[in-house]
Amino acid sequence: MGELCKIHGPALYRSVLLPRLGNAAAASDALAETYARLIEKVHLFRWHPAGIYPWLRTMATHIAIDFLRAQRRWSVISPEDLERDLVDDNATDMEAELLAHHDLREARTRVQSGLGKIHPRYRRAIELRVLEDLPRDEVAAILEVSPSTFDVLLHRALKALRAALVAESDGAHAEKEAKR
Amino acid sequence: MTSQEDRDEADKPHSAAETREAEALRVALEAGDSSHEGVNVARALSFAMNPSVLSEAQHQAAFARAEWLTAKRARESRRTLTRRLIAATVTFSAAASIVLFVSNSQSPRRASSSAFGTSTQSLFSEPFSQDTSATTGRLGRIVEARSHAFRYQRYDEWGVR
Repeated sequence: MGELCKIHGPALYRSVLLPRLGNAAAASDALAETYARLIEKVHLFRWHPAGIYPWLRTMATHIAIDFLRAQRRWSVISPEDLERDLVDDNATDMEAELLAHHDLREARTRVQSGLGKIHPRYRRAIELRVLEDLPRDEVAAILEVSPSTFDVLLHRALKALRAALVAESDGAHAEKEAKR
Repeated sequence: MTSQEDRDEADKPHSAAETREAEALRVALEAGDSSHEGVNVARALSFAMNPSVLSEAQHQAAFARAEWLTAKRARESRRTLTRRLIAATVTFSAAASIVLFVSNSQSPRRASSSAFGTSTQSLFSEPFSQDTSATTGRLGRIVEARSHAFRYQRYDEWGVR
């Protein structure tokens, strides 16, 4: 069992749990919970040509949903979106590596889509300070503002991106409801 | 929108409250204070775009925690099972007692004379003498009393008395 966890743990953590929970401590706890459920429920697994990873990924996603609901912390992908994705998921037949790549791309696409909807200077501020982790003064110099003005810019940028991602999630939800 | 208009829109004047919030965000970001909502948003974005890899130590810690969790749940599940068994046994015993009580109270009572005491005290009103030859006589009296009781029990059982 330890070997199975060692093989699939890194992909579950990096592709499923960390991007969805957005918090390293919560992702570690969720990974431990996923391992525990694997130990308890491995007898329920039925052979699948893609192996055990899709089964583990579904279990980890359910755990991530529970964690997000319990913590009430904002995340890039809301628990409602995760739940919808699980229902509509047609990627479960993919093999481990492809599936992990698919999950990573999905989280990145969501952030990039949100970044595309906010003011270009807000986007630049987030890209440089948050995603590239450049020092505050350096980013302020690149954006040609004082450091204190940059602080305000970043504050607005994060609020705007969060609002854009929430609006996008709500829009996707409404669209899917309309289709049904 | 020109580049200058872009800047004007993004860098529009900020209120004192907004300046305070921005300063709080800066301090929290530098301190890594996860209780600040802005820090959580920044981290979530960062982990969504560039999630870090799981180290061997993190994997080992998660696995050790998983083993502890499964052992704890197994203990709890055994405890729950034991509690349920005890509750079921108590309920069953109580129900059986009630049934027994009700059926006994509805059936006619047996004559209480069928119960005899085993004490021999009532057979001997005088003190025992030191003479050992009197022992046979005392035994004879006990045997006679027991035979008498036995006969009465039989008659009770047969319902002829």
